[in-house]
Amino acid sequence: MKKKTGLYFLIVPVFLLYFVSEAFLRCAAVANINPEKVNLDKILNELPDSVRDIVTYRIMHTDLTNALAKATDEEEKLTLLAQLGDYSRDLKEKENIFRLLRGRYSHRPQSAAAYVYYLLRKDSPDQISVPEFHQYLKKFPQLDQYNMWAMALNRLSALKVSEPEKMNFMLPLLDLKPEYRDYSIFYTELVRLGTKYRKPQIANRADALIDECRLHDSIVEVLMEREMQQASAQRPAGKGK
Amino acid sequence: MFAIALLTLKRMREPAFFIFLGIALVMAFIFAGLDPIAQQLSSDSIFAQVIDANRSKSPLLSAAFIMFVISAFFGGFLGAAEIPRDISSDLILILLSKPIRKLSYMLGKYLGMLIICLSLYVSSLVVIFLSHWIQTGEIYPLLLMFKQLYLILAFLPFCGMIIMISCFTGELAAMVISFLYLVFSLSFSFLPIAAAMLPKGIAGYAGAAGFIIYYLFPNFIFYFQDFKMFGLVFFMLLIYSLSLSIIFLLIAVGRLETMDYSKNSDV
Repeated sequence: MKKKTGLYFLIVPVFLLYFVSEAFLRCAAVANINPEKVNLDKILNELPDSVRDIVTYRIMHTDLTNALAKATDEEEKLTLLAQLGDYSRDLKEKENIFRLLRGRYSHRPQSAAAYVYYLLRKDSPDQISVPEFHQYLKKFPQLDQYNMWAMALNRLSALKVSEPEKMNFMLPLLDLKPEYRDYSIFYTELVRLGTKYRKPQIANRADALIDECRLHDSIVEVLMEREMQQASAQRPAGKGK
Repeated sequence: MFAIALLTLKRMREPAFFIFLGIALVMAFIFAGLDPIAQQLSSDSIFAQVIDANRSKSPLLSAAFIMFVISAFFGGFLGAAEIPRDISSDLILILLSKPIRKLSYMLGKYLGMLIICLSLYVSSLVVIFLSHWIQTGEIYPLLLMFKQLYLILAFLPFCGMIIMISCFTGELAAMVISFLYLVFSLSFSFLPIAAAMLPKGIAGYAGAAGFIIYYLFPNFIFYFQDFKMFGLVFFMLLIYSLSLSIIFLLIAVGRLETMDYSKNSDV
């Protein structure tokens, strides 16, 4: 009994001393660091992987939420909302955002994240089938469609959809008259799949469309040109002011 | 207690110790010419800032840092097998049949291992200082030499940790687990520093969980940080080392008190 009491008298102050000295040394170590020399990436690099992932998520989530709160332009708001929905790990928050985008803003390209999220999502009552998704794509110009196709193909890869199914999913691309060089990626994939699964008509049609794509500018070039035109249009107006 | 320590120190007469000592001294000679550790790192890195904040004029030498790691590794390698070997050879039964308490036995082992580690580290330091003198014709300032001795404090919890682990496992497992424990403690040692630099509340429950895990390991970064030679940080470092060593040794004693020393035991 005496031995046990003696042990408690030793353990409690030892732990107390340990925590006090550890806290003091930690403060001393932090005081050595010049905050101006340290950026967030460096701090995150020092964290163990498991903690780093969670902290990075929380920082990104906070950044997106703050940016969304500050956004004034509707276009910017919708873009941030789609990003937040895509990034969020909170299922309730994700579903709320995507439901809002799908319900109220289905005519805007930012709603694509929501449509892709629900694409073939069998566990959700709001699941979107392949024909529905194809119908949705038709609402948008090819410039916006490109990203939607890419996102949808990523979703199919994540779902580990079979290659013939993937090929069938991409078939509407054969009916398009490509306006941008970037589409050649999709057609190259269709050539591969068509050849692999002995569908020469698909492979040949896709091959012809690759040649068609080469005649056009890439999306980045078109967007840059538009920006330059906008900038040059604003310059004289600015000068006038 | 001292008798047990002397028994442990007999290992210093074995060829294994001389091989380790020889390797350590050769490595000390090779690394003696390296610049101080802060100059080896990018000045913007957090570690470089922690170890060199211009608080003391005596930097930590890279060679001393490397020799600390090597001495800890070799010392740990020799010390981790001590208690498991006594148990497997039944020597512990003979020793504890004498008027020696389990606490004294364990403290003797701890002291013996501490002396082995210190002899490796201090002799390496002597080689570093001597080779600097031979190569440059200059003797290091006394304070700088003293600063390198601060790392001795890190051996206190390190040896306690090895002794604690060796009370729970066999010879080989003790070495492997000690190494893994050390690796984990190093990977978690930056957690509180990094967490303190983050905006408040951003780490959330991950930070709290990380801190709980962090407290299960000693933080060896504290021994490398820059501080005034005889200030409060040194005093706290001493308290930290002693309290942590006592915690490890208390766990080890608890294990020795409740252990079944028969051949069919789990060790």
